[in-house]
Amino acid sequence: MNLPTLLGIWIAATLTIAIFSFLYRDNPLYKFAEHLYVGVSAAYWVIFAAKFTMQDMLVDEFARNWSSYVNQGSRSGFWEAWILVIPTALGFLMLTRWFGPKVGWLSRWPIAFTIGLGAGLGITGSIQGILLPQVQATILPLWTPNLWVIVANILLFVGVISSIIYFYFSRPHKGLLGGVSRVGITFIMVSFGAAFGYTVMSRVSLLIGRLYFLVYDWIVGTVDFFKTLL
Amino acid sequence: MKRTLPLIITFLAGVFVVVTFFIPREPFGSLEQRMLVWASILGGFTLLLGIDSLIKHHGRKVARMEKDWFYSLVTLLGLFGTLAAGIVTWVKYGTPLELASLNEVGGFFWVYKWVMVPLQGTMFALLAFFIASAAYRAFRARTFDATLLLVAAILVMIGRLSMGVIPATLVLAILLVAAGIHRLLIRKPVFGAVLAALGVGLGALVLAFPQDAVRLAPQVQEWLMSVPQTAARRGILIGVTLGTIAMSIRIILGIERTYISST
Repeated sequence: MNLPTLLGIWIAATLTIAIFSFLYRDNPLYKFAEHLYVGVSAAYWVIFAAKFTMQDMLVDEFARNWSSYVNQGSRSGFWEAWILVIPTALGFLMLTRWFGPKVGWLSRWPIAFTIGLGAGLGITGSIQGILLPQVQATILPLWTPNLWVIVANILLFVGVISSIIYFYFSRPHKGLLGGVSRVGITFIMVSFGAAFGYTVMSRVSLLIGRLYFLVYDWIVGTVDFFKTLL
Repeated sequence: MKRTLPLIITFLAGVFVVVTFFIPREPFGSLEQRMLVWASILGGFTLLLGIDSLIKHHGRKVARMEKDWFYSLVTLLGLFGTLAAGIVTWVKYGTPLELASLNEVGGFFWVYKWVMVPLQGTMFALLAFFIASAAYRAFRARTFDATLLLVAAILVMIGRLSMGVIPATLVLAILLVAAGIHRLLIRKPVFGAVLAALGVGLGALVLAFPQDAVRLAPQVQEWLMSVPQTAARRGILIGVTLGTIAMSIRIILGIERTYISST
């Protein structure tokens, strides 16, 4: 272990304890760590976007296409480079919000573009990526040599249909509709319970990870570091 | 101009994406991907607005020395400090995501590993305690549905344990018996009897076949996650997708236009 790592471990341990101090009650130490987290994570995403979006997708892409036009006379390179002016212009239009409502309304154009793009993908992407695969995965054989598979497939089919029907609110849930939606709520409750249990266990494993860090990386690691120095 | 043009842009962008999806030939084939790149670039610009808002909000608090201004100062120091770390690493190595910066105090990866990751991980770990307290409120087996929720959650938790399956299952059995007796005492005999019988049965099975209980617990968990949980989740997902499609059509056709009024 080197000195930067040891310093890092001590900072991480201090911040970990600061966050855990909230278990006692809201206190200045926790607030310090919480506010630090907001600042650090915001800056992290700025650097991330600057590198992977602005540099890789915009600046480098423009430079690559422009050089292919200049060096090889590629017409497509010329167009590929200059078409990037469109998202750049839209990006700058987004920033007009800085200058108040007089010009700020121009930011509606990039917003409209993004919303339109999202809506278009909301149709094609949802159908191709979610709806059809989910429906396809539900249409399963109800007769196989394995009894457990038959039971599972029937339950899966009944669970999907009844859960969907539970969310059908255009008619009152009475009679057959009421009965099926009752089955639906049973499945939904088991599902929520299972999802809850799964979430609890994932959070507990994170907790164990942090406690492990405090005991082994921080305490044992520090002792080992000074042992090697001595 | 202020309202109509954005609606036209939305319509054209939306229809364009749908049309390109159905024409998998060049130049249409790659246009959808290109537009997604454009949206990412726009996202980069939008992030600047968010950061500007963050700096203004906390900067104002610090400048006026309002209540808790010190914490706003911490946010700003964290922000500018990490930005500086990123820029210095970027200039030094040609990329901010250089692994070598992990061994430099103040390097971008060093800040990421020793400040951001512990803060984020501990925040989520802290939720374990609050989830436990929420579970106490949600899981009181008052009704049949709440009991299902309780039993499913505990079975999944037991199934994901690496050790202590038998004591945990016995605790579940005792809880079920206790809940059953409580229901019997408040004159809900059928529900109480079912709960108590479930508890006694589960406890007896675990004590009689401890090896099988250890072997079966992960399988029960796996089955719960892959059959009833998947069924209900899939039902909800299909409903959400149908809603998304309906909303997308409304947006493209200009029926839904709240996104314009907010600016």
